[in-house]
Amino acid sequence: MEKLKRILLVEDDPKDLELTLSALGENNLANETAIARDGVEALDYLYRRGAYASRPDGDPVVILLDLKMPKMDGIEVLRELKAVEQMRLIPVVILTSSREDRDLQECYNLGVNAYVVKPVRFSEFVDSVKHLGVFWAMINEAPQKQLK
Amino acid sequence: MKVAQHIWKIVFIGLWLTAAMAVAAPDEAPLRLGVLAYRPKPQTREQWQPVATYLESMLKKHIQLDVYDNEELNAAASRHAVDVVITTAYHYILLRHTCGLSTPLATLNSREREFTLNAYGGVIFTRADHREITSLTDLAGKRIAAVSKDAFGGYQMQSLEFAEAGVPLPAGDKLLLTGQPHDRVIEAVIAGRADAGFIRTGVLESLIHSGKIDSGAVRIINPRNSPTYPFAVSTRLYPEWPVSVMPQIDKELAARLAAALYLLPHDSFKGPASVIHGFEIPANYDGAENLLRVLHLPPFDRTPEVSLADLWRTYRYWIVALIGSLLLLAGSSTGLVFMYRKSRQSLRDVERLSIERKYAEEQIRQFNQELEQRVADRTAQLEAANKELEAFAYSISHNLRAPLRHIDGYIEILRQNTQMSLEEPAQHYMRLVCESAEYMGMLIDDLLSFARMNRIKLGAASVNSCVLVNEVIDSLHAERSNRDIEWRIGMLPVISGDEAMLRTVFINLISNALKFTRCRTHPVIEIGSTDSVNEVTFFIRDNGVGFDMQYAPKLFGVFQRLHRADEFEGTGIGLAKVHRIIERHGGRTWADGKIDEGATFYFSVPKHS
Repeated sequence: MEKLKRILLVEDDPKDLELTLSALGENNLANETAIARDGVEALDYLYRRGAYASRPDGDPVVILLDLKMPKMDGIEVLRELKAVEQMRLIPVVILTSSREDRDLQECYNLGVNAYVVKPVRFSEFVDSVKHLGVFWAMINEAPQKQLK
Repeated sequence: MKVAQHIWKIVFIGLWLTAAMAVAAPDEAPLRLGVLAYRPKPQTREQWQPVATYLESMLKKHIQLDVYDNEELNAAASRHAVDVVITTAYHYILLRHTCGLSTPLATLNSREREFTLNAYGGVIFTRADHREITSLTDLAGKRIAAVSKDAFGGYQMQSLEFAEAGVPLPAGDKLLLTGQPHDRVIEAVIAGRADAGFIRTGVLESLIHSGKIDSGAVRIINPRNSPTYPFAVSTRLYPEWPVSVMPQIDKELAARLAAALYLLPHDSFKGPASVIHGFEIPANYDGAENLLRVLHLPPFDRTPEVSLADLWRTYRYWIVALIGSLLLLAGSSTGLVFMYRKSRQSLRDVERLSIERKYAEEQIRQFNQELEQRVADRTAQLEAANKELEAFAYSISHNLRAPLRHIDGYIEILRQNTQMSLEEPAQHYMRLVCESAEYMGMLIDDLLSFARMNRIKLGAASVNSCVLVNEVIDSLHAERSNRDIEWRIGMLPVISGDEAMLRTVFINLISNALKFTRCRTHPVIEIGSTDSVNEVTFFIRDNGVGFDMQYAPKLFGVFQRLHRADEFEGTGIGLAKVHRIIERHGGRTWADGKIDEGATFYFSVPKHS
């Protein structure tokens, strides 16, 4: 039986995906990370439907969500998650290249738990992701429903 | 010799008269002698009957003596019911004009006691005790008695003197008309019913002579006594009564009549007729006629008998003035008509203009509507373009930054994985790739923030630039740490604008000043302002490296740099931002500088914004 992953990383760009996983790997969290390549896939994963119908039961402790993605972008995913009772309590962290006010404003309006702009400098990026992983997967106390 | 001639003349006339009488038939129509009665008619008839008798004997012709008053004589003359007229000078002139009476054949010589008179005049008198009345002018407004207004010697002669002296004649109850005889005028004045009286000459002396009044009872006004005239007189003298004939009397008879009159021996008559002394050749009656003309009495009371030439002679200045005035009036009237037409035209013009104006206003309204529509369209287009720009900026921030991050990320991973095996030059190159990626990231961030300058709505508040500048200097502590900078802060007023944006302006300019004075051992930064009517001008002056003025126009361009990156860091966006912010405030930016001597950056902010 496959083990439930604690982090859901939603990222369409393979290079970003690789760099993010690389950063997470520095804290040995790479293996704790499930990957969705767009918004639709993310929701399929969370609702355990389609390709993920047979994934282990339970929700991730945090969702690292990119904004700009094909099919269904991060904002739409966020709106869906925060509108549904069973998903509302899962912490969502936006991990994006955009520091546009518009995006920030909208995300916080929808109830995002954190908003992180990916630094251009890789060392800083690694630091950011490491902190995120440690904080959400290890420090932060999740609601009861979620598995540790 | 003279006596002989005289005798011959009389003889000749006597023979001629005898011959004429022989020819005339005794049963012919009588010659009607009309005499004016200014005394009671029987008395007049008594006076003149001897004359009629004498003429009858001389002319061998029946003479009918008729005594008339004024009106009756007028009527008789107009009916040609009289042939010979004996009346006053005034009456004679009237009848000459109305009935064609001849020029006088002879003039009466009258007798008043021992005096023989061929002329008479008017007397103006007052009671001797009226001391305030001494001259004609004193008679103005006084009550005056006279027999009648028709009386030549009893009113009209005095009237001429009054007219010439400029004294108004009595009128209404100021004129007491007593009627004939003249004695009644004297009675009225002495009785005090009038202040003064008009009478003909001789009457007064006659009454004094007969003892009816005392010689000291009256005083003569305006005395014009002459040594040859025996009575007191106040006026000119006018000839005694003329004898003239009506036009129906032929010249021969008129001549015989004249001859007979001349031949009447002086003082032929006794009794009442003794007043008639005799007849002499006609006197000059021009004076009497002149009086009537001046007083506008009949027959000169209607149309003045003057020719156009007389008028011209007498009134030429008035006529010229009148014609001039008329011409002026005509000119003015024409001018007025012209102006009236012009004003009507103007009125029409105004109406036309008003219509045109309405039309123009309608057009303007339409234009405005179109313009508003166009502005709305253009605004919509601009908004669309702005949205596109935002989308563009958004995709830049996402899509350009990601590759940079990847470059940096993979280089970093590569370095970590190969740290031991790679040579120093390869590591150097990898470091340069990372720096470039990082610099490009900064450029993208600057570009985005510059683009944001255009989109952010401009606030308008009172900004205390003094406080703002001090806050900015405080916030730049990192750049000024360990440096001995001399700050010279001048007068900085409160201005109107967007505080956040103005803060950006001061941050950029002051940090530039700090940056470009870095090499100075004694950096001086001066911040101040000047005030004019419309705007406040700020300046930030430093004694730093300065710049070459030939590149001044490039200073405020996006990513324009006047220094190499290894001299002074920066992307070249700061002054472009300053320029854009001040431009959006409606102000201007400019700079002065000299290489190695420092630079001054200016910006102005309008007062109204």
